[in-house]
Amino acid sequence: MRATYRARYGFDDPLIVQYVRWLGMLLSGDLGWSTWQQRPVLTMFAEALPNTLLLVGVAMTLSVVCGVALGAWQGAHPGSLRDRVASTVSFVVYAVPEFGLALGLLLIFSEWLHWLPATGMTSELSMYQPVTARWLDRLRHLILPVLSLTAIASTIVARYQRLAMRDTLSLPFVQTARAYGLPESRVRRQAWRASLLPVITVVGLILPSLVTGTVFVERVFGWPGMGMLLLDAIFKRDYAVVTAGIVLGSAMTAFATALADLAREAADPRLRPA
Amino acid sequence: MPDSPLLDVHALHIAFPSVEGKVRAVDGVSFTIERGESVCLVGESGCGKSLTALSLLRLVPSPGAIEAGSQITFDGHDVMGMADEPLRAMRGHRMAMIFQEPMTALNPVLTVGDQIAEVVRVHSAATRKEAWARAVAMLEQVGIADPGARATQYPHELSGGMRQRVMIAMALIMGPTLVIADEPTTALDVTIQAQILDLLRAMREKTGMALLLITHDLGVVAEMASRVIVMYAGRVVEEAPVEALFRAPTHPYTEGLLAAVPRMFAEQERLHTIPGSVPPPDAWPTGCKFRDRCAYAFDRCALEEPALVQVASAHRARCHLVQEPERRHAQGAEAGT
Amino acid sequence: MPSADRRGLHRSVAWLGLLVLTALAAPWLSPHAPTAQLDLLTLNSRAPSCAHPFGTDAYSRDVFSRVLHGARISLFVGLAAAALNVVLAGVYGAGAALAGGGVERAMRRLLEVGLSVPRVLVLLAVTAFWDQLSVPSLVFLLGATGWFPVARIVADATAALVRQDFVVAARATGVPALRLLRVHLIPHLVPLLSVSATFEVANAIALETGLSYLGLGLQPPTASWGTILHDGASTLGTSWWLTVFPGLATVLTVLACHAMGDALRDLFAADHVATGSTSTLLSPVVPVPPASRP
Repeated sequence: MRATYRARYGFDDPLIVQYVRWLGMLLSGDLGWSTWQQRPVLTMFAEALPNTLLLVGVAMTLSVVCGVALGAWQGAHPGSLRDRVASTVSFVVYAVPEFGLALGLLLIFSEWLHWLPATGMTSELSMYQPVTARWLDRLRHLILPVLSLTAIASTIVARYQRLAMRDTLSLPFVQTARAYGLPESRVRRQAWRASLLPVITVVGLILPSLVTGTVFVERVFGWPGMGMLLLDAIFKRDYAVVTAGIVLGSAMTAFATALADLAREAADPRLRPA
Repeated sequence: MPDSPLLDVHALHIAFPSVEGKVRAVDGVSFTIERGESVCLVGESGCGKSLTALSLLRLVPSPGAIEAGSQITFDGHDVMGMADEPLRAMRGHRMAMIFQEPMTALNPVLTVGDQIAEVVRVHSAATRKEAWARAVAMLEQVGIADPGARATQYPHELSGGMRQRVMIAMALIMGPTLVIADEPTTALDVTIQAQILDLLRAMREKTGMALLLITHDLGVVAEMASRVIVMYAGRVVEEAPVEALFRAPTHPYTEGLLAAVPRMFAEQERLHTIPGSVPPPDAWPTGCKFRDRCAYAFDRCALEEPALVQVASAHRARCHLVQEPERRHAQGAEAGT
Repeated sequence: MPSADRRGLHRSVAWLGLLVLTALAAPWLSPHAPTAQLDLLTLNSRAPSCAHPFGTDAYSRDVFSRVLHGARISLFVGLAAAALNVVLAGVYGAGAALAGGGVERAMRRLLEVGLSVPRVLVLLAVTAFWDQLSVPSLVFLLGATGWFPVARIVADATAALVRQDFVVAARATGVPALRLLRVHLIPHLVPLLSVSATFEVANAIALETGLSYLGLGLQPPTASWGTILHDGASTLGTSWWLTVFPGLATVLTVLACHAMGDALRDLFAADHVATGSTSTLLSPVVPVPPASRP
């Protein structure tokens, strides 16, 4: 029995042959066949990817917006009470592991307070409800997972933006701006633009941690994305899916980092090729 | 008020908090500048000249502060008593400042055109296009070739001389009546220095603006000034028309500065130096602040600080020697030239 | 150091000290053996009480004892993985910088490759194919995957040191290489590595707990904080104590390590030039942040 399976899936061949065959398949876009779900791996990922992208995309955007806002606000008044309070809270949130925060949020908001749903992307009966109710339902399911990811990532962004803002405000061109009668709001805007470079760099750095954080968060909230798929496949011993997942994950991270590099060049003209 | 000076600074004191209490970096400086006049403010680093300049725009960086009792009157307006909004409107519009190091004084992530245009937009009702057009026109006036293309470049893409021209353009674009230039040529090559100074002179002739030029370089003074103010240790020590200063310096410090300039054809074995160095604000000697380095110091110098007394018309000096000229001989130390 | 930070630091040190003591004394402190299944009928999934302050789990085991023993595992894993990490990073990084030239370039390229794959994905991949993970294997795995960013920092720091004039002078006067290393390099690297090590302890503990929670790290009946979380995952609403106590323990420990790491970094930065200076802002090269998250 086992022998038949092995023969059918090509596991009999020497490892190197399997590897080469796999590479070839990869290049032609074929990610293999799932022994667990008996369908092409590509299809399985194609279904799971949008869910993960939704989660990571929203979390990423919110992290940047909140982090930059918080950091700039703190950096403009360094050492003030609000700065110190915000820094302490940031530190705590930053240090907590993602699954810890996710579990905590789940426990408090779902199990104890019953404000938000616990798992999944949609409630069971939602497909029978009108469109607005369905969207609202989706939103309610999205909140906790996104919050888990955003909270941590935004503190990283905030920390860098704060430092960058504070340091930039002490640069000479800020004095020039004031000397030319620019109102304080414009002065700060000029300073903020010059402070973006370290911030964009750190955005590139948090992307990998968002991607890995997704694995934990999807598990905690039962979110049917690529992380869940990967984990399930590991337990089902579906190696095709596992390898494809690792490769896809790494590729996505590399791609995102490259995007961040492009953004860096856009932010600081000194980095552009002459 | 056509007869009153454009700028009247009276009893300017700027202090910084320190461990021992307040320390005065600028200690009772008074001077005036007439409309269209070109004045040079000379002194070594640390004498307080840059701070004096910054105070005219009320830009003294904290924790330093202009002390109460200081009066600055510009074009009839009391700068010290100005509210924030009129002050902001004045800056860059009626009084403008050119900074020493244009690479750091300009915003690195904005094009030079944008930075100049922003000044225009803040001080007038110009639209983006109008402001940009005016910026480009100004760049041409300051001698930048192909101004339309240059305006889209960033500060780091320009040479040092061009950056300084950009700063000058930014300062002059709103047609100020007083331009303060803080060591505008110090960071530049000698050949470029000459070009920049020529540019400043030309713009002056064109617009009739007054110029307060801060420098430690007497060559610049000779080129640009009609009147010179010499500062030492936070005080004005001599004030004179430029020829009088070079011909007949009164204060020993001025003497020393002039003597220290290397001369091409003089037979000198060693360059003349003023012995010692500028004392920091918390270590000023009693009496005359220059006496530790002065070749002519005598007993009165340690007892009372000299007041600014008239030497000739429009020429004043802060030295006891003005009243006791017979004391002007070396007290054992080497004399001047 | 501001007083608020100092208080936080004291609390962190206190917590970690308590943890170490608990971990060492666990066999004597815990009222029951961590895997002992007590009365299967009556003590099944009981909420916290006087007899069982952290409650019992579905197999009637005392959670308090399990958490205490979990402290041993977490600490051991954290410290051992961090030690391995630091040694690997130090040797590789310093070695690369000292070798210089083409060798250094090649070694740095390899580091880039290692850095391009997110650590968690690598861990997932390996644990997927590796069935029963023992504690030493887990330590090895964690230690072997986290050292790339630290190695790069070490390489940069060593390269900067080697370029300094006094090193060139020392070499020129014939000071033997080993002595150079001992006297100059080690003191230069110690602050860097101790800060990295502290953060790595935090990371290792977080990862071990996380992986075990996912079911991929240590396996039940081993009592680590992660496995207890795993046990409690499906009964989150009913047996909350299985999540809250090991979860809190993990979070507090990781927090304490981060606080210590920050404090150490501030302490050492007072002696060295701070990397957040304006000169780095004026130039587009941004300093690499210390490897502080997985």
